[in-house]
Amino acid sequence: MALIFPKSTDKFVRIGAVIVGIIALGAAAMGLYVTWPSNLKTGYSPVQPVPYSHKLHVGELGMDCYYCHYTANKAGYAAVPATEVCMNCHVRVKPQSPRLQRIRDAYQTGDPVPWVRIHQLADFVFFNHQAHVTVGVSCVSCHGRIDQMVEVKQMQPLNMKWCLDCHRNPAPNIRPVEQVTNLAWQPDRDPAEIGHELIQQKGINPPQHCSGCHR
Amino acid sequence: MIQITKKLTGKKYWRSLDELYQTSEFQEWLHKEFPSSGSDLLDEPSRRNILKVMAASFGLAGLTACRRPVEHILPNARGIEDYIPGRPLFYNTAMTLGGAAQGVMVETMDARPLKIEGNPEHPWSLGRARGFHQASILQMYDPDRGIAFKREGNNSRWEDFLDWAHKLELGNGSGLRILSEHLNSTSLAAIKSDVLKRLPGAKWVEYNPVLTSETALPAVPRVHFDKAAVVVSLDSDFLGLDTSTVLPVKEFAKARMAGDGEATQMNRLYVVESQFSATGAAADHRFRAKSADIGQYANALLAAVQNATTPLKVVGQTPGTEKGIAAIAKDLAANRGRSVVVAVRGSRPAFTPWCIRSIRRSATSAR
Repeated sequence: MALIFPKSTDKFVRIGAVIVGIIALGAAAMGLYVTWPSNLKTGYSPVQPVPYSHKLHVGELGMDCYYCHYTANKAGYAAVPATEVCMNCHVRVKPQSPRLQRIRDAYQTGDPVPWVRIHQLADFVFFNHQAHVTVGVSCVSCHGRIDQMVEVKQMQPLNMKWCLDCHRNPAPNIRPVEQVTNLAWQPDRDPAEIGHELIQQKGINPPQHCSGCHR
Repeated sequence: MIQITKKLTGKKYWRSLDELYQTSEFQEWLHKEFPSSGSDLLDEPSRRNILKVMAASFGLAGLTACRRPVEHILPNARGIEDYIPGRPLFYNTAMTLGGAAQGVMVETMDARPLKIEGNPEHPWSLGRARGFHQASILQMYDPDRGIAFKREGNNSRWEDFLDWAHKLELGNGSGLRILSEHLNSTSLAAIKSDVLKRLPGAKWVEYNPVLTSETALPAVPRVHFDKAAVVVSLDSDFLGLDTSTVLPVKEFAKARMAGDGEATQMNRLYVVESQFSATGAAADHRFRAKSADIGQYANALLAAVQNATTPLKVVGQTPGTEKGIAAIAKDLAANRGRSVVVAVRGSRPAFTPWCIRSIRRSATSAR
């Protein structure tokens, strides 16, 4: 039987298969890279409805985290404050600023300001702010230097490996409770050493079993 | 207009009368529901079109997952005092049922009411609530619950109502009827008399969907079931539906728990009743009787208590009645000052309440 294609066609088919394979592998690797939690989530910095600057309020004016997020050490949620909290100051400070129009409207109409959520865990994970903040895990450990951010950006991947890394070795992230909201805290000796002492002293034992977080 | 009968073979099917008659409302709805493809739906379905839509649906199905969901955080504009997200917040309030108010405590979670229980500080509830009170949580989620002012079925505003009410003052209110629940609040009653004084032509009508024994009474009897060694109920479901608070149940149970506190002996409960009730279920001795015969029971019991020479008979009595009445009378006599006789309110004939009072006077008062 006569050949339809010359024998040399085999070579092209082989080369073609290799090229297609490389492209497919490359696409898969690329897909994996961009959807990897540390790449997909870190750096997320959506535009908020009101241009609130943590850098100005916390970094320059020195407000404490707990002034607005006053439930962080009382409940699982570190709640975004009611619009009323903004108005505590802004009835007198810059009461006419156009950048605050949204806040004033919300205060008058009662409609909430639709802040965009940045740090979002999966629904099957139970994270409790109170449990972390009250044993001395600082805000900065998970949220980064918020006091230097004009627009809040997610700094950590917040995936399970990242959580477990700290649960297995919490010492570097444990500090005295009164320093929790001091994001620029620089101890005069090794923070891990201080953390280790506090762990011993308070008997801190972060759970590593499944039901610690997946309840 | 496209004819639905075009090229149709076999049976003609339709999903609504509007579709069958191809009314203009149907056409309008169709284009509103499927704005881009309304005409496609009316066209004859073609194999090519269906495959096209199917292929596109399958091909694009995965793409919906390709955007990051944006979630909003919507804090209250005005803060709620003492509110901590994720923590229950309790509110004390009162609920009127059948004209009697009971203090209740409502548990809310993130501004949603979850559970109603009695207010532990309230002397009538002692921290517990009746089934009616507990079930009233569902009213909060009733889609028919009124949340806005309505006028002739349309939403209105408080200001409009005020304007209307101010105009009323010009006349004497003839033709005006005000419908309300039974008011047992003195301040509301003052408002009511004030309104009727200003608008003498108006009438205030009270209506209660639930009528319990306390309704429309000037005073509510306070029966100390916890101090009674013998309780006789003549068709009164005081452990069930005849009281609007949970107090009788709590107090009765207290005297029931012998050796568990003050009571050294269990109390005894006699029930004569015409139906099955929670009280009858808890009774030590239960006698069944037609509700029309309750008066006869009261009479016979009075006669027995007063040691009548010939005991009264109950016409149409069930077996054991005579013995039962004698036993009740004996028990009442043995526990003078420590017994309670309760009867259903509004029982017929009208002399029953008198009988009950006489029984109480002659049998239950301390010697």
